Amino acid sequence: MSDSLNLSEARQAYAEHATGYWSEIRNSDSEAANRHTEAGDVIVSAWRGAGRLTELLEPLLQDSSAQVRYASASDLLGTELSDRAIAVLEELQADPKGLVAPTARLRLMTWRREGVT
Amino acid sequence: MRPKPDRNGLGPGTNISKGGSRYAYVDGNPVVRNDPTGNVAQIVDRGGGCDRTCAMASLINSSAPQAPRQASTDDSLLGGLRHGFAGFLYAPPAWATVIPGVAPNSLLMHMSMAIPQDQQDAFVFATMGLAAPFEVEAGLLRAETTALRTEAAVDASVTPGVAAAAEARGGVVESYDSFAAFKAANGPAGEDMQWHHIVEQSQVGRSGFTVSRVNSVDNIVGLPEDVHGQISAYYSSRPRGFSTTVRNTLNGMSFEDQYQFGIDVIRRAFAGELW
Repeated sequence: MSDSLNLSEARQAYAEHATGYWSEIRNSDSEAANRHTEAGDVIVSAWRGAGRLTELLEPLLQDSSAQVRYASASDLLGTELSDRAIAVLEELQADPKGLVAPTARLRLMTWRREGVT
Repeated sequence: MRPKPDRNGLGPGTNISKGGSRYAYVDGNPVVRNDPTGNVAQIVDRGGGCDRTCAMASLINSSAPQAPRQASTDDSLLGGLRHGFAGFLYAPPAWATVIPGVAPNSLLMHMSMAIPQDQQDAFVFATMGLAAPFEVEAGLLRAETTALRTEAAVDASVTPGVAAAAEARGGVVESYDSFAAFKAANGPAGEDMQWHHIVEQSQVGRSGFTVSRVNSVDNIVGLPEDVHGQISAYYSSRPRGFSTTVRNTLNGMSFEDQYQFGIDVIRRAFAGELW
């Protein structure tokens, strides 16, 4: 029960930082945006270290927010859910609206170029 | 019927980031759509097939930046003016002094009033409806050529494909030895506007591009201040999954790849679809 609660809380915090990043970009505040990214890094690092990153992020691949789907897919590249993450990013990059699309395109481009696994 | 911006609720100077696209009524694309009834956008019938408008729009959409060459006195934007150049969202104030009926900061589309009716077909409207590239045959607007030369250089920067088209037709993509030189020649971007480099100036050192390439008119565009701030913040930020900033991630990529990335971002801004 406690573990389930932590998972839920961590997932919610991750999603809030994912959307918070874009809110700060809209405010033209890159430093505040980067703080959200860094906070997300802490969450990802902890759950990756525990071997449970995919458990944390998999549900977010279907989140209603494109910003959350982008974040989770981006962090799941190179995991056993990589194929699903790529599919999500490919769908996002085709969106004619918003900055998530070029970001997803750049993320995929660099990931493929660097051959990160 | 020439598409016109929807001013319903959008007065002069309305920022595109706040009010969305002025051409939302034609799905942001007055090139191929109009809305004579005011109820629904429809494809404009220009006689069938892919006419010159369509062809130009395709060229703009698919164009890659062209290598500029330094303009000289003899090799001026007269060529570009004759063969085509892009319009601006708002007419620079200086235009009002040379073209009757064009108010400072009015939409450049009002430029059409200066074109004889039999030349109207030469007008080609650009992709986003916020820029109005057009072809001007030799002789037309010749009296205004000198006064417009600087503005033409600015206009060519808005829709680089048009500059590319001008280049293909023998026109010129003008470049400068520094951003200061560009600003000295072209003046400020406009009220509440800022010049924005599509491929950033920092990439001169980071990616080995020449200063003149980065400071060429097809790489600099005027953006509303807040949109410029948002895009700059985006480039300075590190999105999830990135090991460094967007700006740093672009380091080392070809000019064309960086250009296409930058254009993609700007087109979304011009369409009021940054968010």
